[in-house]
Amino acid sequence: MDIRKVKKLIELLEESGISELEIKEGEESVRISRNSPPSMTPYAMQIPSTAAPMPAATANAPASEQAVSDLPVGHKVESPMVGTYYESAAPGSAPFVQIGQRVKVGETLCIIEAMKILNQIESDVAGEIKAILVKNGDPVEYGQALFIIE
Amino acid sequence: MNKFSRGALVALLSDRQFHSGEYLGKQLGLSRAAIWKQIRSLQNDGLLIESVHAKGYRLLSRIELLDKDSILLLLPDEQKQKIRLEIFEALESSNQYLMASAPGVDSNTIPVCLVEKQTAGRGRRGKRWQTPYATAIALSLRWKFETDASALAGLSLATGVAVLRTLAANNLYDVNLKWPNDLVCGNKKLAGILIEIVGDAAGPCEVVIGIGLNVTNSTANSAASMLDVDQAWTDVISQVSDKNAVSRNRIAASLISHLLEMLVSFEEQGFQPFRDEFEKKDALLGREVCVQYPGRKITGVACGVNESGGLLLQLDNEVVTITSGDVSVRAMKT
Repeated sequence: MDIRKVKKLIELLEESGISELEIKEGEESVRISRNSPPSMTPYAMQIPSTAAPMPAATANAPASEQAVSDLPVGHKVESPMVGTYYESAAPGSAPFVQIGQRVKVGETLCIIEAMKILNQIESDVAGEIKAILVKNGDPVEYGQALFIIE
Repeated sequence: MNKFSRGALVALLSDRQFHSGEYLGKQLGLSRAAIWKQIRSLQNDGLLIESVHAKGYRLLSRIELLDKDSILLLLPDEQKQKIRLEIFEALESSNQYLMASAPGVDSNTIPVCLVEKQTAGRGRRGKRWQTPYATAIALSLRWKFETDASALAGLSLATGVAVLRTLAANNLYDVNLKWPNDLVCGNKKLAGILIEIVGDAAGPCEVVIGIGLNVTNSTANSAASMLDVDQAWTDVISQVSDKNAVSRNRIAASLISHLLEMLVSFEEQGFQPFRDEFEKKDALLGREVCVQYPGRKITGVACGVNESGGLLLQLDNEVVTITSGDVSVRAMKT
C-alpha cells in the first residue's frame, strides 16, 4: 500500500466536492467517502440532501484504510463548464468509456450539458481510463475533475 | 433517383395542375415507372398527391421549397456576405453536418445550412425530431466564439429569444419560451433548439446552433407527419390568421438574420440584453415545475431566470438555481 497515493486521492476528493470515490484495480479496491453533507456551491444546482442519498457512505468508510494497489495518478480531465454529467449519448445507450478502457486523443469521454448546450468532452491525452470521478446525472462544476487517464 | 431530380419533380408539380407520368418522365429523363416510384416516396413523406387515371398526378398540398437565392435576397448585404448558405434535400441532421464540416476553411465565413428533410433529426439526449418533407425549417449555424465554453451560459435562452423575434417579424406574437429554450403556443411545441459545442471547449470554442421550427407541418398528409413526436405540437400556419402570407423562405431568411444579430450582441454583452425579453415570455413563471435528473428529481415554483440564464426555483425555504435537467410543468396554477 502506498500511503502517499491514498493521501492524494483524499485530496482529490476534497477538491472536487464529490461525496464518494471508488477505485477498482484488479482484485483490489479502495473507496473513500465523506460523511459530511455534499458541499453547497453557490452556482451549482442545489438539491435537498434527502434527494441525493449517499449509498453506504458510512458502512464502507473503513475501506479507505484497506488494501490499495495502483492508484490513479495521471492526467486529470476537467469539466470546462457547469452542468450535468452524462456517461452516454442517450438514456439507455452504452457509456462512452469505462474504467480500464484505453482512449485516443479526441475520443469522446462524456457529455456535459447545461441549458441545452451539449458539450462532448474529448480526451486530450491517449491512455487508459484509471478513474471516473462522477456518476451519470451528477451536477459538475467548472474545473471539476471528471476522469483520470494515464 | 438523386436528390436534384426529386426537387425538380416537386417543382414541376408545384403549380398544382395535373401532369401525366409521361410528361414528368420526359422532363426529368426518367421512366414512367420511376416517376410513379418517386410519387409514392413523396406521398410517404407527407405530400398529398392525387393520381387520376388518364389525367396524371396533381399536387394537393401547399408546398414551398427552400430556395437559396430567395433567402439571400431577403438578407441585408453585410449579413449576406458573411455567410455560406447551403440547402439540402435530405441530410441525417443539419447539426451533425455542420459539426463534421472542416473548420477553418475560411474562418471569416459563417456556415449556415438548411434541409428539407432530416432522416435522423436530433433533439436533446438522443430524442428524435422528425418532420414531413419541406414543411418545417431545420436550420443549423456554426459560430466561433473567442471565449471558452464557460461564457456560453445563457446562449440557449438568447437563441430562443432570437427565434421569438423571428416569429414576431412574421406576424406570430402569441409564443412563449419554456426554459431553457423550447418555443410553445399554449402547451404545444412550436420550435426546439439544440446547441452543441465543437471540439475543444477549454479554448476559444465553436458552437453549432440547431433550430427546428414547425411551419406547415399540419398541412402534410397526417399518416406521414411528425413521426416519433411524443408531445403536443403546433406549427406557424395554424397560429397565424393570414395563412397565405406564410412563407418558409421568408421565415428562414428572417431566422438567419435574427440569429446573426443575436450572436453579435451576445458575444459583446452575454445574456443580459435578452433577459427582460425572456422573462416577459417565460412560460414557466409562477408554475409548479419538476426538474428531472437521472435517478432523482426536484420540484418547486419557477420564478424567473438569473443573469446567466439559470432557472430560479422557489423551494420551501430557499431559491435554487437550475442549470440543467429535464423540466416539466406539473400542474396549472389557476
